[in-house]
Amino acid sequence: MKLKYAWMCAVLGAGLMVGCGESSEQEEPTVIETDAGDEDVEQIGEVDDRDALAELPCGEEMLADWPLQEEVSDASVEITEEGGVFTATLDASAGGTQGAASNPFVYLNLTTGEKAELNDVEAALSEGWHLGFKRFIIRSNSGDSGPGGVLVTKVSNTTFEEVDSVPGNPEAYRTDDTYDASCTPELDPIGTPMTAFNYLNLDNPSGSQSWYSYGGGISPVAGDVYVVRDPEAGVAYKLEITGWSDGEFELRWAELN
Amino acid sequence: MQRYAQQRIVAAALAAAALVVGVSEAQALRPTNPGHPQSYGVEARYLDSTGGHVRVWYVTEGEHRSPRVAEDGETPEIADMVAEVGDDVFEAMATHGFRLPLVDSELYPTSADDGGDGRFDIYLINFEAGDGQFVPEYCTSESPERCAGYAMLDHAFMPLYYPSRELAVKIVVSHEIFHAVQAAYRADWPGWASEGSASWYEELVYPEQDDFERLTGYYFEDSARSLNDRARGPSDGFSYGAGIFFYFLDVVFGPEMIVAVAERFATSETIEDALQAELLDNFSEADDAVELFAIYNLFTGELAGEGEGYPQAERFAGVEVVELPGDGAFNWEQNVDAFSARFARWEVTVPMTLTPVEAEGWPAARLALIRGGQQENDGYESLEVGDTVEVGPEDSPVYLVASQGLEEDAVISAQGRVLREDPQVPSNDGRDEEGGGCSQAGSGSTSGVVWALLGLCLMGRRVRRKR
Repeated sequence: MKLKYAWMCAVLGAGLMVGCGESSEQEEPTVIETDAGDEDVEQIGEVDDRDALAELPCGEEMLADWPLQEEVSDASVEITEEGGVFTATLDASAGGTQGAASNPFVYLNLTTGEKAELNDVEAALSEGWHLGFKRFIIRSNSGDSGPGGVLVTKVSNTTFEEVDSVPGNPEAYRTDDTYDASCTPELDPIGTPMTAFNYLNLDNPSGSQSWYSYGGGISPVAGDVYVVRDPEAGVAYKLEITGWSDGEFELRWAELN
Repeated sequence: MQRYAQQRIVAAALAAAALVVGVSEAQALRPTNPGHPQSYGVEARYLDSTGGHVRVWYVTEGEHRSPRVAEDGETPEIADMVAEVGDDVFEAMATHGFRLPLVDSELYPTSADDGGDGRFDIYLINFEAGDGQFVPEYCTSESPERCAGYAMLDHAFMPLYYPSRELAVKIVVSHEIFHAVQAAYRADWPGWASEGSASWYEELVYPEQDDFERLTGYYFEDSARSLNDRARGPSDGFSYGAGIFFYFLDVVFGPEMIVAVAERFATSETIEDALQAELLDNFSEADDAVELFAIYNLFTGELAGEGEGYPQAERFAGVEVVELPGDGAFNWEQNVDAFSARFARWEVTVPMTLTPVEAEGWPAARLALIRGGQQENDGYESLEVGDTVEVGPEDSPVYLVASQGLEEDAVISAQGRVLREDPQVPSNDGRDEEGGGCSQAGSGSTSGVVWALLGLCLMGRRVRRKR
């Protein structure tokens, strides 16, 4: 331990060193017995994985382009379950149109039926979520977005009830392949980095190249039901976006057998 | 209201053959040229400042028309104001020892539009967003490049975002001319240093404005972020908030420190290299300066003390401070990224110890401990990994400042434990030993000792600001 007037003396210069002692070293305190039981130790703060993320391919670009935030979203997510069908109202409106970039995504775990309490950097390294939401953006835990290996496809002109099996064509599934080999992001027509929910909707008649119709506002495309697979966990879910208003999603999903 | 970032429209790198030896060629245009994206579209007039430093261009009709033009064609009030403030800023720049902007007429090829003479040209235009921009046009071909250019300012400065039109002109003119000054040293200032130092300069020459304080809010709301972090997203104001660091250098050393950093940057690899070199001339380690900077930042906002730290430190927003338990064991662990700091407040109610430890896989951040209580003490203590220091209720509140220098990211890991003394051996709190300490140290209010010492650093410095 050093008492820091030593450097202050350096700053002040010789002419102002009056009263400063020669030595700055102190003997360590003696006779210490502490209550070091781990169970009694309160953890303050945490060490995050921002640096680990930055070392991943295109990690720096991800941090900057979304941009990823180090705070966990405090947004409201209300989820109910009845007969195996989860219904959620998920508030991804934080920041509004102008301030969304400085707010984190809201992460959802379809298996637990709960909001995943992760910040964006943690989520990029976590398998504990399936979908992430911000304003009108939906990311999936795959490709450049995360290590979860989630696959997403879409069944059109159907109903939630009619979808009762997992589409078998592997080429129908998409992932969040946001960056090319040089880490340049693929962008949708309004400049948002592309996710699986863009690639599945490149032919959206409204030109949005996303899950929504754009024309006098944003609205889900009627008859679109998504299938979200988590191959590692061996589960799949059908998911319908039933409503969207100013960043607040209405969702329902159920496991497919 | 956010000013445009300094943008290089110069195409110097693409120059095929310079028209003038030693000067890079560019396809630069000014608003007086019909090809400029924000062309006046009508004949422009100009006003030369009485001090001879600036020429203010304006129009009296069309979309860029400056308001308050009399029917007889009298010069708009805003142009008069800009000309006067421009002269003042140039004079101040010279007084502080900064280089002046490169003179366009001396650098430009003869075919280029230099505004007609060597004065610094300022064009008043109708900004749709932002309120000012310095545009470098022609650069020297030496490495690093130095550039001359012109500035565009809002044509009206409607006082929607500023307290008054006059103050708005002072803020934006001083900011944009400082960008021109930067380009006289070299053209490639990184965003944090470019915008940070330009924001600080507003405060240096016009301390009555509060734009600087507003901009520092971007730093204080995100003080765990590296000060020299790159911009994230299009509306990231953090680089403007970096002005607090240049203000810190100004408060401790005077504006000559920023002059020295700029001069050194003109011949250094990076601004960080220049900064570290200058700091090493004044501190035993450059990281000492970052630590002191962090301590200054801690005692702002609600923690500001009378006559301590920054002048009128309460005008700054304050940093995020975590609370540590004062009567039970804890581990405090957080990232401390390069050129950033973390802060903790510790209301100690029973005798405790604090021990910095290594965090696996990470360099250890610096840790400063400040006893804010009433007991006599010896300034703030800089703890190293393995040190154990005792604190008690008499020291409360204790403040911990974890900081990290410019080189690499680190982690602070510190263990707080309740002290139970072995009855066989007398205790020693380690703070009343001989062998060190400034005799000025004494009791006082929160962090009084620190400021008593730092006050010596500040002796003789004026307190510019009166609100």
